[in-house]
Amino acid sequence: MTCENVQASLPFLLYGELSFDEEEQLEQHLGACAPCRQALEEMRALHAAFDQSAEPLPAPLLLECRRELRERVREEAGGKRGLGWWAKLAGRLRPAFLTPAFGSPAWPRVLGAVAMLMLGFAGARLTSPATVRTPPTYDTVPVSGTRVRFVEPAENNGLVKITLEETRERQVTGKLDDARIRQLLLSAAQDPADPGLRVETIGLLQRETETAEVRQALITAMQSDDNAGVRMKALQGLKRYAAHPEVRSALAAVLLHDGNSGIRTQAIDLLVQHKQRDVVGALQQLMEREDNDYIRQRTRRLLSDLNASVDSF
Amino acid sequence: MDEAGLIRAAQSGDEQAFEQLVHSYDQAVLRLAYNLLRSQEDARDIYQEAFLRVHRNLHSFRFDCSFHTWLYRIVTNLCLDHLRKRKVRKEESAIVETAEGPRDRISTIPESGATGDPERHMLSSELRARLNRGMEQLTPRERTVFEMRHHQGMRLRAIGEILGTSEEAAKNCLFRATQKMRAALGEFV
Repeated sequence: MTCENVQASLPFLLYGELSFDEEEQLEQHLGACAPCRQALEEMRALHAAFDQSAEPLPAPLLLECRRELRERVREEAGGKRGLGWWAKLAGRLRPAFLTPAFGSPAWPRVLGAVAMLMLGFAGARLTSPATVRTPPTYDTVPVSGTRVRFVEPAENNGLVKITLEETRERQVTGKLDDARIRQLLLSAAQDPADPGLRVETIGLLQRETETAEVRQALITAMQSDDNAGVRMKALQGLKRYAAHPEVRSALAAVLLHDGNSGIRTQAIDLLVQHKQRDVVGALQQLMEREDNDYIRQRTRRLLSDLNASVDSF
Repeated sequence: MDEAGLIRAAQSGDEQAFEQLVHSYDQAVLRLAYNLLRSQEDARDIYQEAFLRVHRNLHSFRFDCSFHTWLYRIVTNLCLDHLRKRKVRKEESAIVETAEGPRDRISTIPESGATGDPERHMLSSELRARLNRGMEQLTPRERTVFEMRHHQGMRLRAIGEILGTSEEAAKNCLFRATQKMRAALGEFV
């Protein structure tokens, strides 16, 4: 195997796309060839850089797409059931519009507009009053056995809107300080299937952190949610409580255990705001394992301000 | 219910089964579209169009290939069409107008990760700009193969099957993409 062949195969070695025999030959060559080993290290660095070419999905985007798809699927299904005769008629008329006599680009548009108008009237006629959504009060919502699918703030009136999964969909509105509304949100904050929903819910719960059970939910999400976006949102919700012993202890745990350096950075920034000795032990442990320069620097400074040693004994 | 069961239920009109099927794949599909097109609006359009096509044509799915392959054929065709049109129109300049004046498109995407380290931030911005330039130099097919292999972790054989080509052709495509990206990053890596 020549060096040229080996170096051309390096990307596929890293992707695990070589056969057993190809990999064997390559490794034998690498064992004996320093320039190719150097080329492998460069390829590793290149791959690590490629990792940064991906953009994290904006959290609400998936949620919005799902909502829009559901509506469009419903529209299409409704159209198929109620307006089959119109679709057939339109199908028969359509080739005529495309003949040269109707070749002007304006024709299909005009006819399309007429068709849309007729569809609108037909749709209104076929829609029964029962399908028109009128938000019920929460009194009519059975909380147990109901899955929260979407949450969103209503328009500037301090209410939240919650979409539940039942045999049919309903919306409930209520204030955040309402225990039953809160119960729905707390359940949504733990929905394992939908990180987008958890982010939205934690965002809403941030406004109600006076309540101990909400604070506890945020602490749990910050420490144990598997989605970094949710953990970050929960941490931001706890900012006002950075002096609270329980929150400080949770922040120290985040510093020691969270794999996301962005979240650890936010955690140390919050702990620094209140120079209290309760987290000294955790900070000393952190100095032994943290490799992020910024976090190390902030931790060292905080320990120094607290007259504590940088090392643990 | 396993995937085949979900597909059969969705084929017979069970909308909940269809939704469950969508939710098994839609995050990865959206991520692919967003990474390839770098625009929330375009990614949203691809998402809607892809899953609406799945919904309309699911009755004709005969299990001749995996559902994953079938879905990704739809998604990649839509993305490739979009990238080709964009290339022809040349309307997607790398420079976009913002409130602070013209800026590189990539720098308008909010940055994730640690904040507060100016040197790291500068290095990271420069790296992102170079990566962006490298991506711009890839053909739509090279870009798609690169995304599917590097970020979605698909095997080259599966990528070939999805794109209607051989594993070897997908491999060559990935090789060219890697070379171009390497040239764009230059001495930076």
